[in-house]
Amino acid sequence: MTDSDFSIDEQVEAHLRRTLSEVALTTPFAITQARSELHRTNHRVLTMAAGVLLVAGAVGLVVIAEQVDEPSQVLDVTDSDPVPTPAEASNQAGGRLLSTPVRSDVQPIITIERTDWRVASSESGAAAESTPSTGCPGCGARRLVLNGGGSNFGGPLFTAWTLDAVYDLARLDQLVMVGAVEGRANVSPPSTPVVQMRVTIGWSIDANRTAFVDASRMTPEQALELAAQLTFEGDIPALATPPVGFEKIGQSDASFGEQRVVRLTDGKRSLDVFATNEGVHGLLNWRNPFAHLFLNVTRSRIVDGAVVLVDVDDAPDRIGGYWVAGGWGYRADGAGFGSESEFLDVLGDLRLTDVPNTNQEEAMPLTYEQFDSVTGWKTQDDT
Amino acid sequence: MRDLGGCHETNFDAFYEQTLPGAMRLGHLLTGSVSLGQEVAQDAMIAVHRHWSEIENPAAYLRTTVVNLSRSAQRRLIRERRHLRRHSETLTMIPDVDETWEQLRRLPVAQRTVLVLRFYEDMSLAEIADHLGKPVGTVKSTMHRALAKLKDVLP
Repeated sequence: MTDSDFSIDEQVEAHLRRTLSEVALTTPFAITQARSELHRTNHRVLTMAAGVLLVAGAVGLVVIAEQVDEPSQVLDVTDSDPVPTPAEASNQAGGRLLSTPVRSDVQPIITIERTDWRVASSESGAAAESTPSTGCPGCGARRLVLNGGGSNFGGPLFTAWTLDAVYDLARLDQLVMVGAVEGRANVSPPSTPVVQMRVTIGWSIDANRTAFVDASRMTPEQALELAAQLTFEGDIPALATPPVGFEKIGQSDASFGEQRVVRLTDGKRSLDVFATNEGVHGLLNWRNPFAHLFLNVTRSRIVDGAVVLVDVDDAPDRIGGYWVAGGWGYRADGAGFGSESEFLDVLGDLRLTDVPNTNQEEAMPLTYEQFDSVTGWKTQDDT
Repeated sequence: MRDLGGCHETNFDAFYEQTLPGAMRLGHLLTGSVSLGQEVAQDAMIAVHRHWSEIENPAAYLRTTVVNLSRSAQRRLIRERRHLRRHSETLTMIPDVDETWEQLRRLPVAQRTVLVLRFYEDMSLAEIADHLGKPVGTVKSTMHRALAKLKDVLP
């Protein structure tokens, strides 16, 4: 089939071309503005990271950043929290979504306790690739995660995992030494406007196993120094003595890769809730398109005893926040809210239910973008 | 992003300067939202930067990424539409253009994507199919449906 098979009214075609060209011309170029905004965000993050490193000698690390006014509050990120059995989970109907722990193998069915709000759509599914492979070595990997950014994850983050296969390390840019072992790394040059804080390292640890490190807001030297201290006796890399100021984030339950996306609205305001069953790991994972906690600067807020990390840099009419409860990590994206407190009030009214939503107003196919940490991002068609 | 297929810049900063406006325009047209289009363009730039040393044709990679990210932004698009509808009346100050654009924005994203790639990016049906990973027949039927809708409502 060729284009000639396809006839189109010339007048319509000309009009469409003109419309698209005219509209495209209204797009703000805003390179300077975009660069400035990115630099501003990165500068703030880097300032925070620098602050973290400077005080790394202190046992109690306190991240001091603008608008981070409750740094002592921490997300519920360890695996020591009481998690219910599936049977218990089904009895949690009516529990607050913000604070009710749900096992990672139980889908949280979300509703809202507000008469003027309704669930517009609700879908769940699995990520395209939920286990590591040579094509996507970062997908579904169980990772060591060291957080040097305190309760708001605003500073250095160091993650490490392994792939039980030989990986073509030539796909990474630079030759590096991980201790005495040769490896390769991708390093984001500090001079670029969009990515200043990420280091990815890969190296072979035996004939059939490859180790990877993904770090943000750290220098290559710092990341390599930590990488060289890793040990690989178990499934997850270990670091005997995490650097001062860093804390290990407990691994969530197994069965990774499940996601749930729920849209709620009152007709004027809307709330998109993205849930992933990797706990805080999912929120820190590059491949999760809904979880930008790896980069975002947040401030902590308390809602009915639960900690919600709210984005500092968000558009005036948009607001977003993160929280973790049990095996699930959540990202809520709000639109049309007049204030942060209004947004948080609605979050506080989110509830768990055991009744699947049936009042979907539109069929909305999910698209998962796989932001793999090593091979790059790949896409899966609408499901 | 027209006329950038032959871009062989090795300097990312230069590439960024050169291609960001086009990426923003394409993102704008695909999502129907200026702000969402800008975000998509910026995210696409991050993807390009991550693989700068591996990509043979950064401009093509950027365009593909903008298209894919725009598709995945459907949920936010719905929200943006609601916001934009209040402000789009005087977008270009050309009544028939604004009216047509409003109709284009109301199309399902798959249909609008095909029209934008065909009539803004000047891609052939085969190129669009290759870009979207769809059969040419699917692209053609998608375009038919889009045009059928538009013919009824165009000024």
